[in-house]
Amino acid sequence: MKKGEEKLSNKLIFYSIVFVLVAVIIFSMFRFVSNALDDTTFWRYYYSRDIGLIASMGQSGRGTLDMQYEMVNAEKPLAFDIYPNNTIQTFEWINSEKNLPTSFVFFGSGETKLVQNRVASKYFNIFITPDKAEFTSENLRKDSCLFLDTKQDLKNVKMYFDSSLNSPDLENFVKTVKQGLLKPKMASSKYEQGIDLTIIFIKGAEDSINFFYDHNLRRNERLSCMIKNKLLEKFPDKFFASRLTKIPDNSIWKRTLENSDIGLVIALKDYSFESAVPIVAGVNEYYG
Amino acid sequence: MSTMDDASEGESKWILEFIPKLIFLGIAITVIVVFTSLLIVNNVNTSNLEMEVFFNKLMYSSGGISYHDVDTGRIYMGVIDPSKLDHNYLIQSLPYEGKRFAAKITVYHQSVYYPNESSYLNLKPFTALDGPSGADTLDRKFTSAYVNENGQVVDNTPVEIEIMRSRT
Repeated sequence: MKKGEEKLSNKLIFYSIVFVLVAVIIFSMFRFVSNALDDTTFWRYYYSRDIGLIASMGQSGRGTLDMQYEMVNAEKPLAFDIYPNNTIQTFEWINSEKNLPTSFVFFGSGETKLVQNRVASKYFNIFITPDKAEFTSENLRKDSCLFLDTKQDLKNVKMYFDSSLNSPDLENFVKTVKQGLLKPKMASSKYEQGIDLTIIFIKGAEDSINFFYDHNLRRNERLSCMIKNKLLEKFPDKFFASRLTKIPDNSIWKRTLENSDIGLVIALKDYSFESAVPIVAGVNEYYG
Repeated sequence: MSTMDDASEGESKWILEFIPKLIFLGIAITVIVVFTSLLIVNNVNTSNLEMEVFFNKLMYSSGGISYHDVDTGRIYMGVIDPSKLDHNYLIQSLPYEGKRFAAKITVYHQSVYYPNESSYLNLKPFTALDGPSGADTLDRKFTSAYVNENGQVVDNTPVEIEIMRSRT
């Protein structure tokens, strides 16, 4: 190899290394920023202290404290455990196994017994008397939905419906939703490709309304909010929490949602005929 | 030929000088991002509020040191009950299982420590330190009425309450 060629080769190797190094730094930075945006450390810290100090102050008085609390400002749904030893642990409801809870120990009262409880609802009640302090979940309330002009999306909407349960009840439920939504400019499809709206029903674990999305967050947020509000209109005392979270990568429905313009996996505990009506009404409201 | 070699040598030198710059850039960006996120997370500083809550519990709650009439349920603020100036009583009436707090309550030359004297002595030197390794303090001095061991009310008794909380 000639001297000039050797130098050129060394230079190429060096530039490749620099390129890889720069790529690693940029990738790490994007990863860090992405994690920081999804991170709930601040809000776990904030709520554990706020709720703990309210409990501490409430136990000081000799009257009754009855307070409605709303936990809204976190990127992901939070829940907390309250213990009789005057400790509160706030954690992420979805990824609780990945993230350690944030603990806060506060000054209690020898006379007021703190009732141990787990609160996973958005709204809860703090009730403190001279004898006991109690935190209890409250029913979910209707939200004002994100404003977006989604009426213009009603242009030959191709819909895909599915469910992960092979029970006759759920089949009937899906059929009812499908029939309720079949109208001019809206058609159902058997295939997952080229779909405008996908709705998949899965079994939920508790009395909550859980939604999973893959992309197009703002439109899915509006759609989920409208479905949630309609369900709450119909069943005002049934649900305690509602969550909209990104579908896990290992979910069998990930691919299906990826293929659709907007799409939600809806997890409910009970799929009765009565639940189908508000879901249809929510989707209809979304399309105006 | 010698001109070409000089040019290559200059380029190699530039390339070598580029390496530390690149490493430094990476470190600087990482430090900025990490510090910004730490600053945001630690923006919720409730240290002073926690000490205020403790002070108010100590003075105004029935489990505090003020005289509490159990028949009427009234707390006589400004009258210190000597029977409550006891460290076992304070631990039971104001339970706290954390390790961040210590307090010294001095009434009429009688001092009581919360939760205990060793915690107070351990935390005391850290009050002189700045930064996360230090401790915050809240000092309150006032005069109060005090019922002494003979049952006599002594007015204008000096009361000093010193509360400390470690920052980490």
